[in-house]
Amino acid sequence: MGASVDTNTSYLLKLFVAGDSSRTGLAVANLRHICEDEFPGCYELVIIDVLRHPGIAEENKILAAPTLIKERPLPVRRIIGDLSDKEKVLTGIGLLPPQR
Amino acid sequence: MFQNIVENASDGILVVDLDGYVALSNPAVASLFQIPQEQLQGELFGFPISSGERTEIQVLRKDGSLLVTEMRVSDAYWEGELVFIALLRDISERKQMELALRQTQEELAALYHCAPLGIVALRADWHVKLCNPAAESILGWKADQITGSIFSDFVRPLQPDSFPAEDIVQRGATLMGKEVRHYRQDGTPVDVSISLAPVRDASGRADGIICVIEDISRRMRDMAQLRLSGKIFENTQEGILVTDAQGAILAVNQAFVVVTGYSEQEAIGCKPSMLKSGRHDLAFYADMWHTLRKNRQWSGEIWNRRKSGEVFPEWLNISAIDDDEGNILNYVAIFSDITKIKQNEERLRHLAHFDALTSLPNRFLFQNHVELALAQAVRNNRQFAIMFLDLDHFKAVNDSLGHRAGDLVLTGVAERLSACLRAGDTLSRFGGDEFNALLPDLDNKAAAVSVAKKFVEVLSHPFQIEGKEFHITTSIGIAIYPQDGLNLDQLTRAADAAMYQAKAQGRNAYQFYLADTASPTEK
Repeated sequence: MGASVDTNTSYLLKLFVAGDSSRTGLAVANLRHICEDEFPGCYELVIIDVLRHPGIAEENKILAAPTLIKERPLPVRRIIGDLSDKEKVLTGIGLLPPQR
Repeated sequence: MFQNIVENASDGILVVDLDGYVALSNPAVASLFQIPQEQLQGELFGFPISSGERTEIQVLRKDGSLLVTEMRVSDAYWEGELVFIALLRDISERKQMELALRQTQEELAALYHCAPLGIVALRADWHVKLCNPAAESILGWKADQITGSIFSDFVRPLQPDSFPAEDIVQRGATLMGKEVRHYRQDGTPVDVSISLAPVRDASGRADGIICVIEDISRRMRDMAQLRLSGKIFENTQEGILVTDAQGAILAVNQAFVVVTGYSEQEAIGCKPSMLKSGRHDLAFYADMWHTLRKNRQWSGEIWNRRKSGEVFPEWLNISAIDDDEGNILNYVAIFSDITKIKQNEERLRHLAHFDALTSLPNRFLFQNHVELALAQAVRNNRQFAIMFLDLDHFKAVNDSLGHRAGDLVLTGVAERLSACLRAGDTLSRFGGDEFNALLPDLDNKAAAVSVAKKFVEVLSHPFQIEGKEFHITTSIGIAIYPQDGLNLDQLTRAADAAMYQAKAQGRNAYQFYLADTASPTEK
């Protein structure tokens, strides 16, 4: 995959999910797969259940789940929805240029 | 116009710029999030993405609840900028219905597989769609053998001509619990109860039939058994009464009513002691209950009382009926009225000791009395007499008038002779025209002579038989203990010899035994 990612950069990703459903499991698995493919060994993935940590969700102004926030590298980007399409995810978090 | 459409759309609409900030929202989306619309403006939502046409997200509402929402994402140029449009639709209700539907399906599937009832789903044309394991086992056909075939080809009693098949499909009637006999593939019969109900489509038309089949063979067998038991209970010659554990009568049969005279209504609720005759003591009943508790069974002869007050003997058999834990539930008493048997016994006992014609003691009882008199005489050092009487020329009476008249004479003789005796004396008839008397405890020979004279005297009067007069005389032989013999045998021989001597002397006389007189048989 020809993503223009800097492997020296440390990636910090926060995934906000709601509850422990199969949908949540799928979102987490999709994201891990993308991370392992794209940033092997240099990413940090934090998974936050908004039901168990409503305070953190509020601090981060989370409106829906799943929400993925890329905190590093800057700029901060967030996406909402389906994480199964790697290109769309990478585009969404600003690691690929938007396609039309 | 675009703004107008957005404002009035029933779906929530969010227009998000390239950085994920809300550029435009509508009232529907504000109500989804429970956030005032103006507050949504400029809010960081995020960059909406969907791999397909639509995706599901969970909206976190202000009240903390989650709303399952369908999101469609598209992009557009708006006011010269590339923007993303997220259309949000509340699908929580649909989700819940899907969940409820799935649960119902799971429950139905469990029921279908585990129920002991056969369940067969039929199409409206009676072809089998589905058949559960219980139906396979009850009907004796495998699902794959009957699926797609006409059901009544396998279940004969459901032939359309014997069955209101049309009513079910055309008119939506149901059929509840039709009991029929079905023959399985292997030929074995099974009694089943079949219920049918139409399954309607959305328009209310029956487009299928659910058939529920219950194996009722066991119930049918039990019912047949019950009917048989009932018949036996009602028709047996033995009286039967059933009580509860406390002894209150629960049921009686017809024979009970006939034997005791109490009706069913009178007996039910009472205790069997209503039949007590008073002939048995407390120990008798205590022993009965002891045996019954120990062995669960008692049988024996018991005297009871009928409603009429008459006391009667019965042969009674009582059994205790236990439950699985060994607690007594019922007692069942079965009895037969043995009045007739008792009467027969009494008659036999009489026949064994008494002459059937005259009711006088027979030879057996006479000898018994002689033995008793002998023992008393030895003990008290007393004497006693035995007399043998033979009617003179009695054969002529029988020959000329017949046995009936002869019998009447013999009965008359017995009566007259009996009248001459003391209480404690014995008159007997061994048979024929011979009578025998025992006079125990005599003071002297003269006492015997006095009786012998009376015998002769009472017979001297003529007998009136069937309008004719008869004269009868007797010859009497007398033997005295101890002088004429010391035991029964010796005394019998002596009396017999004396009697023959009396006959030899011209009859109508009595004769004491003379030591030198030998009996005719010894001559």
